[in-house]
Amino acid sequence: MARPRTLPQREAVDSPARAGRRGWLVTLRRTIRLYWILRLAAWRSALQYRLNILFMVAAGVAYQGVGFVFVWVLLHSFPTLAGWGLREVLFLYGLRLVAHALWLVCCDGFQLIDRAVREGEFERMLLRPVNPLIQLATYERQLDPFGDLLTGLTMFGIALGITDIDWTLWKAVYCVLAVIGGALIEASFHVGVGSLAFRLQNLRSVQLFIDDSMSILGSYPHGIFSPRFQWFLTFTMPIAFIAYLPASVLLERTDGLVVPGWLGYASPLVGVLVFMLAYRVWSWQMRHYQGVGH
Amino acid sequence: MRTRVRRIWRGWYGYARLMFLTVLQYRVAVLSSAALSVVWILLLTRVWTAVYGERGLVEGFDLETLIVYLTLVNLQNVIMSNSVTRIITERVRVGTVLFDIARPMPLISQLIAQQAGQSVGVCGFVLLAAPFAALVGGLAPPADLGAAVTYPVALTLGWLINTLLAILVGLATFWAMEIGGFTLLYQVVAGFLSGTSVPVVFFPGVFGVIVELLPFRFTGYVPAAVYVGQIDGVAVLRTMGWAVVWIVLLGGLLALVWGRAYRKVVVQGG
Repeated sequence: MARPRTLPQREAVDSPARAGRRGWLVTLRRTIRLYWILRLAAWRSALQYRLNILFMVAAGVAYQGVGFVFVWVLLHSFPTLAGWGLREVLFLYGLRLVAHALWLVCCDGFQLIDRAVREGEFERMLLRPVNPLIQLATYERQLDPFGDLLTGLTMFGIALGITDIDWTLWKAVYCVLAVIGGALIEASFHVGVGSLAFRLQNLRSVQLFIDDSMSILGSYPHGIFSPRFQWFLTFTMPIAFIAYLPASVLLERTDGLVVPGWLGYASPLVGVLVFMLAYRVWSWQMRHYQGVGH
Repeated sequence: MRTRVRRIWRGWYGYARLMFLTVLQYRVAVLSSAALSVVWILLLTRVWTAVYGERGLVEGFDLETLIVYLTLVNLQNVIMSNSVTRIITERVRVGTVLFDIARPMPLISQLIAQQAGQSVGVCGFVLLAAPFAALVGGLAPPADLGAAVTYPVALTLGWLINTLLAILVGLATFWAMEIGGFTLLYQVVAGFLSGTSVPVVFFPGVFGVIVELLPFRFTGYVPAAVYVGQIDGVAVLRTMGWAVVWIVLLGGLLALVWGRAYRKVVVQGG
């Protein structure tokens, strides 16, 4: 029987109190530095298997590309989708994909949380003086997220070329912040689900479900759904904030929304808030961690 | 003769049963893939409803028929999901494929039997998901008596084509050890070309012609189109004739490739 144990006090190593006066800033800088060291090490390790990398990246490209071929075939027979033309859908699709890829490229190791807990790796992470979340984020040694990134950037690049948006500095800044916000929302779902790893053995299918659901429900104009379901996607499952609301703002299509248009501008903020909430849930659930007896 | 048949049957039954039980063991994964197909049905039916608007008939589909088609084809797709590619890849990598080959039942038959067991097991979960899929999308009885009779046949033929293709993909592992990327690539492309999100008659121009010539449509589009009466009358028989031709072709190709792979195994293990 695994015996419950108390967590080593994470605060003991990177708490503001310890790190001095400008504590949190020092902690943040240290965390970011350690994040990069770990991240680069994982990538170096992934680069050892060259041929499969090529296929994995190609598979990532195909997986996301096929999704858009669907829209292309569709809009070949029909002019618009809920009032959105092919270019606008491409813009939305690309924006979502870039946000998705950003979260994956930065933190995809987080999806291995259940394995790490099951096999006792998490124990090691608790002992090292870096936030376990950072260690998990850099845990994955696959490069397929770069396939997603490649596809996302290509789609978004093409969309930028063919949609006529009056770019101003503010819009560009907002766009970058919205992508980060979108990535944070996707990450939040995974951190939230990941915190179940302290209670369940295997999360793979739940993670796949969440991941695919976000790509299915996040990449199309929400005008196709009933108003009630649109509310659900905005306030209950904040998928609309990942890309649909930002894209509506940038394409000046906020008049078609069932929610007030200004809400779209809040997307980056929503990303931060949702992530903070998910982090809270994660920290709270982490207390229920039980060693597997290594 | 009778003991021989019995022995063969026992082999098939044994493998199928094993995979059936495996499916029950992995029920959470199967349930979640069924649930995901419901989410996908939700999106697809909304997307198609939005683009159809007030239009009546497009490419021979009215909206109501199309919704039944999309619901059905995506439920079918859960049954079609295969694990034979994964099984063969893993066993080759670890080397246990030697034991499979040493058994009196041919490896290819073992794989087909396992896939059969899995699909039957998954069927149960799909039936659980079907009411939700019907609620979110839409289901209706078969178009007519002919459709009701021919649908199971079309589905079985499609299932066999799907399984043969999956084994062919899996055999690539005899030449390259790590084919995870390749397998994923195949699944994504094959899934789309089988018509799970767009009935293949909607594919435009040259693309449409190519898809028409490939075997993937039999694994998704054809059975569902037979069910909703999109393919009917003599066309059903003609299409099934083509399906049989594909099964023979793929079977021959599989025998050829397996013959080569088999020699490869001897060299590796020798």
